[in-house]
Amino acid sequence: MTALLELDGIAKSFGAIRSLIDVSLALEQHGIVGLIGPNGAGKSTLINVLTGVYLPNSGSVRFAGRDLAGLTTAERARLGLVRTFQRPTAIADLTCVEGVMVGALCRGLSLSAARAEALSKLALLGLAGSAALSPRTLPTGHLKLLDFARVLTLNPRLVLLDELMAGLSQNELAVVLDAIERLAAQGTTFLVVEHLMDVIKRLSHRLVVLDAGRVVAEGAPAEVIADPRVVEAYLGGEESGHAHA
Amino acid sequence: MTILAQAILNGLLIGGVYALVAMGLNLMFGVMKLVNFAHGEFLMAGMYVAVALAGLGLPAGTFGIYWVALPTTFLMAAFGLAFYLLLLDRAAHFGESPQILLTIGLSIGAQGLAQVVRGSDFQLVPNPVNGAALHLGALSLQLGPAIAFVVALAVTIAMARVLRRTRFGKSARAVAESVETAEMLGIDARRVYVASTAIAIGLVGLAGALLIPYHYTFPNVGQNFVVVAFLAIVIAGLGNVVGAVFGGLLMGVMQSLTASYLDLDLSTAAIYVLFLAVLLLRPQGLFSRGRRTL
Amino acid sequence: MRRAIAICALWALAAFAGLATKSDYLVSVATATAFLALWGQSWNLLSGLTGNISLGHSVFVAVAAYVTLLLFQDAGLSPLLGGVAGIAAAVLLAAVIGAATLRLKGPYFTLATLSAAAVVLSLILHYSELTGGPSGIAIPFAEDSPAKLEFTNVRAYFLIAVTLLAAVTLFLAFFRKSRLGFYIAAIKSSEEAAAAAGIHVARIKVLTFCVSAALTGLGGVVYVFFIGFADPNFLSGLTLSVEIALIAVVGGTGYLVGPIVGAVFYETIDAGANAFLGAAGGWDVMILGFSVVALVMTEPRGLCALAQGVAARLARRPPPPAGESVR
Repeated sequence: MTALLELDGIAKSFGAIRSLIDVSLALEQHGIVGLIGPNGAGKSTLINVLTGVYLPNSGSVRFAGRDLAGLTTAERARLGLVRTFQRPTAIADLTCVEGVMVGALCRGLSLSAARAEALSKLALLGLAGSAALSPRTLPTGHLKLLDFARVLTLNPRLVLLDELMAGLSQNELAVVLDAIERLAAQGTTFLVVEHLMDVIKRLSHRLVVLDAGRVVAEGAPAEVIADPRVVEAYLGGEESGHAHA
Repeated sequence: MTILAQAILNGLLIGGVYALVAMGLNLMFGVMKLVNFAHGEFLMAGMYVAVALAGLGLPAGTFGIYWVALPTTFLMAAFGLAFYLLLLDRAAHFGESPQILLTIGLSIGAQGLAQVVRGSDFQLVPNPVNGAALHLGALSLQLGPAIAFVVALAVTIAMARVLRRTRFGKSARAVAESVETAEMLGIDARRVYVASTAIAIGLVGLAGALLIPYHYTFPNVGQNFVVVAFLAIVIAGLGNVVGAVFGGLLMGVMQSLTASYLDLDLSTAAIYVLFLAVLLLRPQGLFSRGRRTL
Repeated sequence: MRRAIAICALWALAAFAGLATKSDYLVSVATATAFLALWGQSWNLLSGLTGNISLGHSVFVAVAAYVTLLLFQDAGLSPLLGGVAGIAAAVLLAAVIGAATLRLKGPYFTLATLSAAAVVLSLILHYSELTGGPSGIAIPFAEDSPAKLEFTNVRAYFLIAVTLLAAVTLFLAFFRKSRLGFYIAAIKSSEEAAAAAGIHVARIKVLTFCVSAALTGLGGVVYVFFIGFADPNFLSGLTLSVEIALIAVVGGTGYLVGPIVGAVFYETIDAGANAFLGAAGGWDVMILGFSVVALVMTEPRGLCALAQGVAARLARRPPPPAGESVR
């Protein structure tokens, strides 16, 4: 079976700064893959390359067998490759449910079908009560969940989560983890970028470690975390389980 | 050949005043991200103030009329202070639309006020500078614009030093770059806003004083200058106060050249086309150091 | 649905009032107000909804008007048909400007639109054999003819203007909560997030520009026949562009009827100052300008927000939170 996502030799530089040097990765369908690495390792850059925000200097990205070169972020989202943002923005002029609906609308659903879809995703993330509210006064954690709900309405095949967990309350965290596991069981693939080590250990089936623009380790979470190269990448100690963003 | 040289020369001289107007505008625009549509009306006010002062009496001598320059500048700076404290201070928290609306309303109201108070006559203070010209071979330099040009250059050099060496200058540049970062560094953005406004209006007042020896004063006079000034600062590069001078000079030369070779309408269009070209092709401006500010 | 009924009711009221009024002058002023409000609504579709302030909207009035007029004058084409071409021309121009200004934001966008209008004005003035130059085009009046949009009774123009205004307002009411309206709201808050949700940002931005231009042009086509004259300096001028933006913001861009309220406010003060203080002397301009300043300083969100606040206070309720649009 072709891998869902294949990165081959991705490199990305910004002037003199080489953010990604040589990243090759394959993600199978189904499953939750964690992506960790110290600050500056290139995790966010990688997400931006995958979603078409940055053009890689070299290398290729294939999604479901298709080369993504030349496709815009919006086109990739409609193909089923979506991402959440570290710092989400509220869609100020719309209510929560309306703001979430836009994803479903882009899929071609009618207004009423899109609204129903949005409501179901809001319910999945425990946000049903906020549907008719304006997101303007809501806290960041809430906005992150709205962001997540929105991309879910696109019925994506691959979701890139960019530090979704930071800033969530205990309750919200529990709901989100449950939702991710349920969706993964139903066939959605997740690539989770995280700093919260215990979360990522529990959640992911596989772990990939990025350091200074390269993949330095890959495999089962327990093994990877114990790997001395990984420990060193984090400058010895941060990985002891209480890292935070 | 002489036509070309004369046109360029005229353009440079006209550009001197544009440069002064543009400098003040750039300071406010760069520091506060405020599109001050009333800037032209402050020029107009400066001119009326200068005319009023000149009415008190002119000392003898060719350059007698220039005694009004300094008092006008300071009076206008004080006016700028009031403008900020009474209006802009509160408006800082408004969105972009209300801010623009505010300055537009002010612009319209000021033009009406000038007409009510001083009438719509075109006023000119009789003085030796008006119409006088120096001759360099086949070229002639209008005296009034020439003096304005020289002063504008001097002020530019002074401003460049202020921006580079003084605490205010560095604070202003920091705030223009990013308010959040500047405040994190301990800079009081509000103080920078106050000072920038006062300086900017003072500068435009000086421009007004330099204009009255040879240019008519009337309620709508600011309109001719403000749009060109806006184009100049974007062409030169936002936040680049020294560059604004070159922008002003460039605008003056463009106007003069196209007026010599094309008719009036096309020469107006040419300036806007140049502006659009720079905006779309090199948005950081022609004289900036290459950082995208858009 | 409720809003649609309210709009229709207001339309009926305005139409009746216009027909019943004896004074031709008042109806004329009301007609001009209706056109200004119509342009304000079209402007609001772009600038109010997207947050990018255009100060060049008069260019769409001018282009639509001139194309229609030239077809009328030189080819004898009825403005009902020529108007379609005029609007199409405005849309084409909007597509070009929209595409060119895609990456511009805030003041840069504003200055670009201002420049575009100025360039078009210069071209109209320059190619005077085609356009009549600075003296414009006078529309010769023969007899009453709906096909030629020529009417002796100004009330006919009033009815058309008010009907168009009501139609555009209805359109806007549905537009905000339509697919396109949602996309625009998303883009306004964050282009990144909108793209990540699958929205083709560039296409939607240009499309919005085009729709706004089409509605503006529609007003322009009828307007020139109402005035009977095309003055390029006015039609493509900065003054008109500024007026259009002004009334929309004065009324309140977050409100469906904001531009209408703004237009009424503006024209009332203008007409009032003219009536009581005379047109000469600058009093009307001064009062207008400073009224705007006073209004903005009191309530930057516009007259509708001010009214909401007052109504809330009268009802002893807390005023709605900042920025929330209701109607």
